[in-house]
Amino acid sequence: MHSRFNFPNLGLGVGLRSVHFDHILREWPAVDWFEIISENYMDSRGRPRYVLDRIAERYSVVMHGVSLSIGSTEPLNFEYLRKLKRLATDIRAVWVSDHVCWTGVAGINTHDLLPLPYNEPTLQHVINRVHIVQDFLERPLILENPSSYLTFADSTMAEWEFVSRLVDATECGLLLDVNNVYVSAFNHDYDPVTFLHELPHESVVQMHLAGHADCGTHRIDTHDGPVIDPVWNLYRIAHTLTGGVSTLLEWDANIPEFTIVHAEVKKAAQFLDENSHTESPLLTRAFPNPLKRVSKTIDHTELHTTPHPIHFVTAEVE
Amino acid sequence: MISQTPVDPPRSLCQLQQWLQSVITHPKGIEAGVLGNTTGETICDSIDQLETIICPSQRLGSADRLRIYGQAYFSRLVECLRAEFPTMARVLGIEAFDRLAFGYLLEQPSQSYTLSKLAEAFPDYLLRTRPPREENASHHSSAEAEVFLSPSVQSDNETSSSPDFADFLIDLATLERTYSEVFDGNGPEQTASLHPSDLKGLTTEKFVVSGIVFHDCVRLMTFRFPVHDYVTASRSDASSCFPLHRVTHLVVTRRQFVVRRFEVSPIQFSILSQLQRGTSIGDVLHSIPPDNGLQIHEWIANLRRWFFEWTAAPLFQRLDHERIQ
Repeated sequence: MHSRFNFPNLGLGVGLRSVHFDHILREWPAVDWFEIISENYMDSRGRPRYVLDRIAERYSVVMHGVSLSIGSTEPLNFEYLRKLKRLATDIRAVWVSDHVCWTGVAGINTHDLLPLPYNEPTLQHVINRVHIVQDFLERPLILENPSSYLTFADSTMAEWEFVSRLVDATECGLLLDVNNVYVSAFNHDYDPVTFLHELPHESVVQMHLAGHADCGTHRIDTHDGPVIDPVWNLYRIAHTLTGGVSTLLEWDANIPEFTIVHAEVKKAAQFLDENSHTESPLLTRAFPNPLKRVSKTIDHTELHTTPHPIHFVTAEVE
Repeated sequence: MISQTPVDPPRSLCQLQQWLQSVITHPKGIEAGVLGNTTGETICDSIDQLETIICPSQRLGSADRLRIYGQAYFSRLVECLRAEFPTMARVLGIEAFDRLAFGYLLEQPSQSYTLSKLAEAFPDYLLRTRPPREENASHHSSAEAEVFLSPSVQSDNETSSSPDFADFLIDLATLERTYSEVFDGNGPEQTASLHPSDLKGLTTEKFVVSGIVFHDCVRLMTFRFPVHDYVTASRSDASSCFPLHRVTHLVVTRRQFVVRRFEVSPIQFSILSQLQRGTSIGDVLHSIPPDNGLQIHEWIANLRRWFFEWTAAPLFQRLDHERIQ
């Protein structure tokens, strides 16, 4: 199966994080590609941008944003879009992605990926804005399904229907975050496999993998640990359904050394050459009681289990 | 999971987003946010009505689900502030720092797409909300930070005696914020710097009427405490003592993409400050009296050495030939 965009399958990539800068510049590891958090580099005139430029000379780079706020009722920020477009041009980004979400209104950025009500007016609103953004960027926008922790009574369609119709109307691409499917499915009591089956697979350009926290009553997308087996099982299904697309591991908190992060994403290689079946024995075991192993178990009263759509870059001082 | 509501939802997306944001960013939690919601038309008057907006899951009620976002909003941003002000967080202790950061976020919620601007007003916030300076500031403890946590307390800088713990915290925050700005702002790495060869062929007369253009990253800062030494010491020793008051002049700059800082004497600071303001080299040198007890040749030797060090730092882009008459 080929993506409608003819984007290449970049292989197995790693999210670029500043704690790994030194290692990457020293070792030039055999990573297939890197994904950056766009906002960490759009204004940088220091080491983050310098390192990114060096990396972009040797690796394919994809830009992943967290502040586009495509679902917000605030006007689009064209200054932001101008900088996004310029960075994409400068580093020859293979594609530019963000999330199906909103991040704030009334001039405030919550820096969270807030959920949308999935209904007709919202869909039309997001469709209109995706058209504007794609026209401005002069490239397809790739949008990710976010992890979410609540659903709205105003929703009249499932998330996968909303996403599918958005793709149909705008020809945007999909960044399928398999961990987010797992997290949201648990939180919202739906079957993650149904979600995967109902998506327009030919529009999936990229997949995300990450660790999350099990808080008992809900799961939170913390990006702070390895990928658990049930998520790998979903990845196996998604790989089969999409025919295989660029895959990237996100690790944003308690970040270990680079070799550990890289080794984690390379586990995906075992799925790339398999003719795996959608209803695999592993999957059957995994649902509906999938937690053979979890990355982190946390008391749900814990206040500091923070979803991690962000990565803060700290200064380096002599 | 899917509501049976009609195609037209009972409220607009705009209403829903304004309501949700006001609830999850309420300082007293989502219950207070629901009850105290004043954003336009009220769409939910009580927690009991939450299910008309937020669906419960099999394991969590509507309020619990909303609370996840409420807790995440503050904890995520406080976490960023902790990362940007690691020494200050260590000095205050996590709990006191977080409360201070919480107060700041209430006053200055992020309005940018980037987190790098989140803390740009933090030192100013500390200055505006600092407690009145004590008459006897000889003893300090992190418990004194508690007085910062009352936002109604106003600055009382003019009636002060010696600098106190609050001044120390403000200095510390100012330095740590400056590190962030210098780290990610314009630097000397991809810009030409002044080189001794640039002076070849320049007559003394032309030299003294020239100015010097500094690199954008150069910050000349005066602190009431040697906070730079404190930051360095605290990295290796978490029990670093609160430093004694000492007026400290610092140059903060960047070389090879790493922030560098060094202390300068009052006279060096005066020279650099005037030059950065655009005063000509000759006027600066005329305004500075030689060090007490120094012979003129020693004074000239000092000046030569300083300019060599500052050029090597590198602090200077070029001579400002526009100033040459």
